[in-house]
Amino acid sequence: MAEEVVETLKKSDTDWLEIGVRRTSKGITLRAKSDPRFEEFMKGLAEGSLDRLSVFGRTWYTPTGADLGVYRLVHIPDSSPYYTLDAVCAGLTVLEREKDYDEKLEKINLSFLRFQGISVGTGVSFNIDGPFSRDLVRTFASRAKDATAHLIRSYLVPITVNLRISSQEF
Amino acid sequence: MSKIVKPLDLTSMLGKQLRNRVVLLGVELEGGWKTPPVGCAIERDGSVFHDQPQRGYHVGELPLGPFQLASLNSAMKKHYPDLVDDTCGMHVHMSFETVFHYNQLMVPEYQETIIWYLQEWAKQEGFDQNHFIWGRLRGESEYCQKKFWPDLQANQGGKDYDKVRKGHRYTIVHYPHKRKGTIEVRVLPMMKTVDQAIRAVREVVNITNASLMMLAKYRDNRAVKEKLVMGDDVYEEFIRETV
Repeated sequence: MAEEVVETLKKSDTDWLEIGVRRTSKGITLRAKSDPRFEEFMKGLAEGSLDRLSVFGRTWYTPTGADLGVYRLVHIPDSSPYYTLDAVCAGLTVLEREKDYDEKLEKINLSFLRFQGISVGTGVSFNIDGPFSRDLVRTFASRAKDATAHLIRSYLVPITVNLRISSQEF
Repeated sequence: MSKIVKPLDLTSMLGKQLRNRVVLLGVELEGGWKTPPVGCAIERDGSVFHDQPQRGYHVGELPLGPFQLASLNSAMKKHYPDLVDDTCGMHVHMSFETVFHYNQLMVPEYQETIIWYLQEWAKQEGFDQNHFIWGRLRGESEYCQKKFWPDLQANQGGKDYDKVRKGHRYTIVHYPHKRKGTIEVRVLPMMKTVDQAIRAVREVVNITNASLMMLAKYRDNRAVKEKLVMGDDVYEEFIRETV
């Protein structure tokens, strides 16, 4: 088995996400396993609706040939300068325009977090063919972990807002 | 602090008969032709002669290939332009049998090695110290900048003319895998004579083959030190190469 670079996003006792990246003779294999609450969040964004991976193209494919379900982005999260969820079958990083920035930004592609079944069993695995620099293979898992942490903080971590209205304002 | 990247030491390899890993070559020729070669269309290129017409010449770019290394001499002699100047670049495209070799060359050391050994070649060829080749090798031309974005370039599907944004294609070594399946060395200018141009292209191929051998050796040493275990199919190919 080739060397796999693995990163795990942990918080307290929860493994929110484990990402493994391994180079193969044709490209890379990416493996991801999330906490069920994370998949529920993705399902919520899709209102339960699914596309099949093959709809997006052939550059991402599973080792078994299975046509994975991909939660549709019905509710699109606010754009982030760090990651994108809207680039299934694109590269590990993508260049995208971001408002308030003059140049296109290189964003980590987290679209694989939309796979159905990512929280079940050993998660999901898929292949991308093509050349990848050693540097990217070694650092992608870490960068994806950090970007996912940002996503979780933005949308999943409960926030308590205390609102106080003073009588003086009337 | 950014890492200082050094060129590979190919001293023991260059000049020797090396195993050729470059399956197919392509060469983009720029300049002016009195008569376009039969069956060829000269494509417009706004950078050639600053887009100024040259009386009596058809100006632009002629993409040559792909062809095998053995056909380099005949292809170049048949199609080389009659007029060139410092605005004319000569881009060399190389394709490889497997993505394994392409991956190996996606390291900053390869670009530094191309620069270093082409500088050595240019010294041997006796280029004047004011010749524009030196500026190109220093990364001073906007058409071959000393930047390194292999993954961004390898995934680009379209061709654009932005020379400023991150991941643009105007680098000394460019990795247009998705678009062309090749590695492109953009740093050479067109040479005054076709024979010198052929020598220049051969030097790029030689440096590339030697770099692949050296990088394989580095990988082997690192594997021993770090007990890195390669996947079966990758390892078998590696063994076939080194036996």
